[in-house]
Order: sequence, then C-alpha cells, then structure tokens
Amino acid sequence: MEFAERLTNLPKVFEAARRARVGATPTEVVFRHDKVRLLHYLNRAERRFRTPLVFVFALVNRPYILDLRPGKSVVQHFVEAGFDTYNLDWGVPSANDRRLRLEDYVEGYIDRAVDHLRERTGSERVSILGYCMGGTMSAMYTALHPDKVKNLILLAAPVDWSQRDHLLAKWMDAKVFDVDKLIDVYGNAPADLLQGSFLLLRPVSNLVGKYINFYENMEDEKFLEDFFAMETWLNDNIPVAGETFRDFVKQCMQQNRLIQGTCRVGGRTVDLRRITCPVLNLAAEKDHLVPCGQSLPFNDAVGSTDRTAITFPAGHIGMAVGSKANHELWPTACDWLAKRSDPA
Amino acid sequence: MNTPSGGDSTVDAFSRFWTEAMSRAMGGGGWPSQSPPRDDLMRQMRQAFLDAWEHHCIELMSSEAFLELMRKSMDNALAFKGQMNQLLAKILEDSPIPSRDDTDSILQVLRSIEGRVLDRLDRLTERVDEIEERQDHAPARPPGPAKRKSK
Repeated sequence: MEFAERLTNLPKVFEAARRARVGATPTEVVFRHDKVRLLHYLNRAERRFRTPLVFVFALVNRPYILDLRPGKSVVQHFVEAGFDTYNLDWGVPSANDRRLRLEDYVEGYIDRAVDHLRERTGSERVSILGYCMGGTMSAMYTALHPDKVKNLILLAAPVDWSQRDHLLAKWMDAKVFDVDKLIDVYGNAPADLLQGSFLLLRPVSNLVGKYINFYENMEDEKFLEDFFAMETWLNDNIPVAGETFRDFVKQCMQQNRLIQGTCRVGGRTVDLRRITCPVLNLAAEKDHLVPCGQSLPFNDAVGSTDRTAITFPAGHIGMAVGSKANHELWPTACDWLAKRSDPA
Repeated sequence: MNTPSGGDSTVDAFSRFWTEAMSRAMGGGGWPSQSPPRDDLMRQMRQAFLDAWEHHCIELMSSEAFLELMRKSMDNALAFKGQMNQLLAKILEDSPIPSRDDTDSILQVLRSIEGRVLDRLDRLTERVDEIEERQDHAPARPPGPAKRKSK
C-alpha cells in the first residue's frame, strides 16, 4: 500500500527534478580573466565591513555549493552579516587549458582577482575563505602574498598528507597512481574519473543509502527540492587542468611538500610561516575526503599568533550545506571575521 | 598475516562481514523479541547492515590486492587510450583537418604573447608610477619674475 502511494507521487518527483534550482543569492560578474569570473553577491543588507571577502573553491565541481539554496548557503550568512562578498568561479577547463599550472591559478587568477578587489573596494587587503583544494591554494597564495590578505579562513582544506591510512590517500599513493601517465594521455584530469572516485569513497552510502533515503522521503516537497539541488551540483563535474592536477598530486598529495615548506609555485617556495594574518581553520569531523588530520596541522605551521581551529561534526559537504552547520558553525565564523574586518 | 586461497578468503571475508552486520543490528544484545519490531528498530537494523557493508567495501578497496588490480586496470586503460590517441593523430596528420596539437601550438604562441605584453605593461605601469611619485616629491619651483605687459 505504501509503495503504491509513493508511486502515485512520481509526477511530483519528476516536477521537482525539472524545477531544481541552485543559487540563493543574485550575483553580478565584476571581473573576468580567461574563463575565470569573479562574482559579486548582491544584497540589500547594510554593508557593515569594508574588507571584502572572497570565496575560493576547489577546481573540481562548481563553486555554487557555497550558495546552494536558501537556508543552505554559506554566502548568505556573510552577505546578511554585512560583508562585501565575492566568489571566484574558475569556469570549465577545455582541452586547450591543459597546460595551465598551479602557478597560473595561485599567482595568476587568484592574484589578479585580489588586485581587482583591492582596487574596486579601496581596501588594501582582502579576506579569503578557501574550501577544500581552494583552501590549499588560498594558503599558498597567502604565504606568497601576505601583504594582500587580511584574514584567512580555511574550510576542510588539506595541507598535510602525511596520514596515509584513509582510502583516498591509498589510492593516490605514487606506487598505485601514476599521475604522469593519466595526464600525458588525457590532457586534463577527466571529470568522470574524479566523480567516480569520490562516489566510491563511500560506496554504500552514495549508491544505496542515498536512494533508500530518497524513497522514504519522496513525499516531502522540501526534501525533493534540496535533494535535486544537491544532485545538480554532484553531477556538475568539471575536469581539472592537466598540469595543475599533476603539480598538485605530486607536490602535495604524494610528496607532501606544502607542510614541509618545500612546495614550489611559480619558481617560489611556499613557506606557510610567512602567513601572519588571523587564521580560522574549520575541519570536518566526519570528512571522508579530507580527514581532520589533513587540515588541523595548518595552524601549527603558520606564523600567525591569532589562530583558531574548529572541528565540527559534519562531513565534507555537510560543512557547507548541512542544517547544523548553517545554524551553528557559520554564525560563529561570521562573528570571528566581523571582529577582524575593517568597518565600512 | 595469513593469506588463504581465493575461495577460503572470500568465505572468511563474508563471514566477518555477516558477523559484524548482525552484531551491529542486534546492538550486541541478542535476538529481537517476539513482538513485531517497530519501524525505527527496523531502520536501525537496516542502517547497521549498510554501515557494516560499507566498512567492508572500504576494507576491500584498501587491500593490497585491490590496489594492485586498480593500478593494472588503469595502466591498461591508459595504454589503450594512448594508442587510440596516436592513431587519431596519425589520421589527422594525413588529412587537411587541424589536430589538437596544431591548435595547442597556436594557443601556446598566443599565451606567450599575452604574457610578454602583460609583463611589459606591468613594467611600464611601474615606471609611470615611479615618475609620478618623483614629481609629487620634487621641490616646488620658486615663482619666476612677473611678465611685463606690452603696450
């Protein structure tokens, strides 16, 4: 009987899938360089802080996860708190972008976007919030340009790959994964390969549990809206520029050079001790992609005296879209940043 | 560590998985009571089963045998793809259609030009800034003699 009732609900399910929308906050594009766009979040909230905040997401998947839906948006917290908020959208690399290196992203795109923001807002320094690999790149950027960054927030950002006991670390080990062969053949790191790998990190949850949960909640319209918004993002995969992927995997994931202070970007050594700005390091307790042990060592590696670490009971994506994170973590992060930003 | 033969290891792995799944499902407290289980109890048992299954899948995918299999599969797939790429490049070479390498070369030239132009612009901007700064800091000239008006 219950099964029959759920079947009759199928048209609503298809309608919800068709209507799936992502992005809670209106944006305008204020800067472009190649495929990269700097998005400015528009809002009616009173601007309380002069120091702009820019989100830097990873190169895999799209950055709108930070502004997925009303009530599941990290961006909305900061916008409503009065921050001038931006997001760096990397665009989608094509085959012609395969020669882009890590330095093109860190010293090129991030630096140009930051310079544009400094000129646009009149603020000498900006605050950066980096998520996942975006956090790693933000840390590299801040170490190379400490004069341009006022505050640094890292969200589930890997910086220390010395722990080798979790699944992704084993798969990425140099004895198992030959990144040179992959990039020499494919050019870019294929989106399907990355997506498949992430799914298999939690195979039963992602391929069985998710659909059981869907079946049990498919009569709930709000659940359907959130589910399909999340699915839109999960399936919106993009390749990673080949040389950047090769660089990142070898220097960071396999050789662990970043935390050791021997990582080279654009001919310069990235020394995390050059980071002296206030740092807020948010680590996810239940993160299967970036375990806490990969994020937390950052605070001991930097030269900052104002360092805060928060370990939150959520998964990698839950840190951004989970209800608990939205109610508890992000208000705390906003307060932290408010105390360290210049007033408008 | 013992490495039993293929069949025995499969049975052992399944036994371990089943034992763990049942332990989690029963909460370590023995068999369920005679009365029909409630929905939430059923959900808990189901979740325990799924958790055990996932734990064992992850264990399997972390094993040396799986990693070796993964490495070999990827090597074979990449070798095949590499050969297909070479074949395609050869076909394109013999045809009037530009290949990826051709467009790649053009893009590299363009990127190099872009880099050089931007670097030159940056240097010019720095020089202009220096000149302006020197002008701003230059001592003010004393006013010259007043000019006589001609009649």
